[in-house]
Amino acid sequence: MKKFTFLSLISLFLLVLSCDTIDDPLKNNDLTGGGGNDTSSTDTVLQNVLLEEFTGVKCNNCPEAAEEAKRLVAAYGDRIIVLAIHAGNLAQTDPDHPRAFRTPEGTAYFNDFNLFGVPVGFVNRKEYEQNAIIKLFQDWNTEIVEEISKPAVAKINLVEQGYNSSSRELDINGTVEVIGDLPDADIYLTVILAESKITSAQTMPDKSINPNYEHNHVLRAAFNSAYGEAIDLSSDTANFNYSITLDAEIVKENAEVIAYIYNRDTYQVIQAAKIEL
Amino acid sequence: MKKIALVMALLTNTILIAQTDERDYGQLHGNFQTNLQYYLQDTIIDPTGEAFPPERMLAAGFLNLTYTKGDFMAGVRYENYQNNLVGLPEGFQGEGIPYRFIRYKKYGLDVTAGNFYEQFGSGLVFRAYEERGLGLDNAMDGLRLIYELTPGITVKGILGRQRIYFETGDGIVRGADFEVNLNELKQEYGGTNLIVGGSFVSRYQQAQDPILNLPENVASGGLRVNLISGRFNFYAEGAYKSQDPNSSNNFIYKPGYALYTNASYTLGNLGIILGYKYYDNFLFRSERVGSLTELLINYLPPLAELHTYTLPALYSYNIQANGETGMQAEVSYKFDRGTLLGGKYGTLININYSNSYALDKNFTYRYRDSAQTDSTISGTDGYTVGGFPGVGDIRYSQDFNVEVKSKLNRKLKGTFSYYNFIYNRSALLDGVVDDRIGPNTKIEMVYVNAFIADILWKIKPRHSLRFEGQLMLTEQDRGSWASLLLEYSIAPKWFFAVQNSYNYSNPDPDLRVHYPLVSLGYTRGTNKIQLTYGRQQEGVFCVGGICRVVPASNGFSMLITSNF
Repeated sequence: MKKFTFLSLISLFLLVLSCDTIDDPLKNNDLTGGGGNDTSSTDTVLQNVLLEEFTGVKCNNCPEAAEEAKRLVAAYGDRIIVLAIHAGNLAQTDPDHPRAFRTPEGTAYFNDFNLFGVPVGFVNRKEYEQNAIIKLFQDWNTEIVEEISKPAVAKINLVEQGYNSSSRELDINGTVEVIGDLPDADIYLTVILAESKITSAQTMPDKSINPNYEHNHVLRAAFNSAYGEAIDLSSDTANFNYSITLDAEIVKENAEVIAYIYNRDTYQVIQAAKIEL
Repeated sequence: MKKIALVMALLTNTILIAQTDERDYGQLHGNFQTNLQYYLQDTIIDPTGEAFPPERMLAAGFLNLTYTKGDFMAGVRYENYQNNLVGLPEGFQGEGIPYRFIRYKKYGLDVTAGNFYEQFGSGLVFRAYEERGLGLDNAMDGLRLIYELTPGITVKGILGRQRIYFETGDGIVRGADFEVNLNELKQEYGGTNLIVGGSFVSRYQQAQDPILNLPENVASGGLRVNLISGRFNFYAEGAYKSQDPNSSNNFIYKPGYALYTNASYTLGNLGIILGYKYYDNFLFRSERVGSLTELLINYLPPLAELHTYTLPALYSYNIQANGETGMQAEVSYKFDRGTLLGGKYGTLININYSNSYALDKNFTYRYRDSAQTDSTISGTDGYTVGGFPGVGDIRYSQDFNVEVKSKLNRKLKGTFSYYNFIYNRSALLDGVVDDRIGPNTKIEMVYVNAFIADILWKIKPRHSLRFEGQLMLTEQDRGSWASLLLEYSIAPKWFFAVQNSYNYSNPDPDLRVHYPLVSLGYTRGTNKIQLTYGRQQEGVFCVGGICRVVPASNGFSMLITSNF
């Protein structure tokens, strides 16, 4: 019995020693303003992270993933650029879900990267070559922590050049400036139109349907196709300009333009920027 | 990889030598399995093609080799997934040797280096195990020491990381366990015995969350007692887990508690088993973020009836590690031959009842925004539980079943079962639990009555025919089903089976379809091959309360197993 008591005491001792007790779960540090990296100023200096969130209006787990994206934006500020891509079988209309936000670009990403379902995401499209590009939303933060601490090798400056309200034609231009060592590969630029504050039906985690769910950062169209175009950065700077005609149902004031450059071999996003129109 | 190849070459040489030399060069044993499935697109049961893989054919298999010589043992397992079968985790892709170990025992010390499986007590605190059907393999990769201090007192220590697909997780797992067997300690055998034990496990994982201060070290500990006295056997284990905010509990900071008890009593032909469970926030992984079967450190006994027949198995119990409580009672009685109910050959009756409820949780919320519109339980203690026994309003399951086994005559044996169960589909299959339940949530309960007749007819020596008739009645979910199976066996080599399940009252008339399945099996020595063709209904496959949803599919499959 003495041995038993001794062993019990050792176990309790180990238990006490081997756990951390947190009295204050919430951190007070403000991560949103650091580094002058407010992408809304269109002047990106540090590495931003493009979070491509694959989702669907009939996916009951997707609102949780959207919540996680929102939480990460609240934590890291504008250095996280979220693009919600509605694709797959759960992004289809039915009488309960009159709008589904599918796009040819979103479907291309869904099929080309062999997605098995939603919600999942890409974090700067990292680890494509390791066959691990698909990240569950529970892993986004861990992946973002790795990406966001990387030094930026390029800056993207985005400007709204003009908008014709009658023709609904939107012109944007921008500059990519190399400030570090680019990978030895073809660099492509993709420019995307997204829209926020869309009120439409969504299946919720409890399987009920919320007809007034607010969809944000929804991929609506590409200015220069799903995978963009090669950009010549041999002189360390390149300018670009594109136009797009906004679809009638897009609210221009809620639209966003996202531009990113990536390594065409690995799909890894090198830098991303966003402006709200 | 080269080192492993070298070891294998040496082992093979050793065995070859052993065939021609009388000296003891040890023994090499192995087993092999491969499962190939060729899928056909079936637009009726899978209209969107979600479960139709682009590869068309998928294959998964393994080869285990274990070498033993005296107190020395070493082994490897080669696994291949090209790619994993539909319904199983896609993380298993490719091929490799994810399991290898060396083990020896000397002077009471048992040392394992490499991969190992282990369990402390009932598993509440620690269980590393493999369940291929679920795609679950949380094998440790590290060190294990087992030491017998004195006969009757055993101490175990473990250290390492857990397997996740072809890699290991980030979390470091450390643990220890001791067990005292009083009879062995006193060298007095027979009569009443008391076995007591204690265990603890701790996990370290670096924390980088931008919002939450996360504990990097999380510990769990438990004490257990097992009293064995003739007709009576009582087992109880209680465990505690320190703050463990994780993706499964929505990052709450409440400690976890678990209690599992099981008592049995036998008197003559009568057997009684009673069990009780209380699990409160007790899911433990070696990484904070994981899904389904990944990186589980512990195991919670489900204490629920395992549904083995095809149709009741569509509603199998899925343990709710974030919180549940329940009980199970089983009474079995064997009526002797020659009695009214025993008939000419005797009759065994089992009556089983179990239930599971959500805990009575009162949630704690915080606002994430200054406008106080966005609330979450994350970053709080999560909830408090009403006073003991803490049974909440939401029922997860209730299961009552009666099984009668009887030999009808010299050639006929029968097992007749009746099931009556209530199944919370929303919680157990869709994961709608706890704070995911809102004011507009419709909890989908399924009420089922099922009847099974399983009759074995020994036609003549070595030839037998098994008939299985199942009827499962419900007005909810996918409606009622009927199923028939005929299986003809010619022992010990052949079996042929034909089965059809019919979902005749599915609320969607297009899904009132038949699921025919034909199988052929051939056994030669220790080699077995089984071919199957047909439609498989969508279902849930569970082992020990851990479940995986298996999508509907159509196609051929071939299963080959072999061992030596």
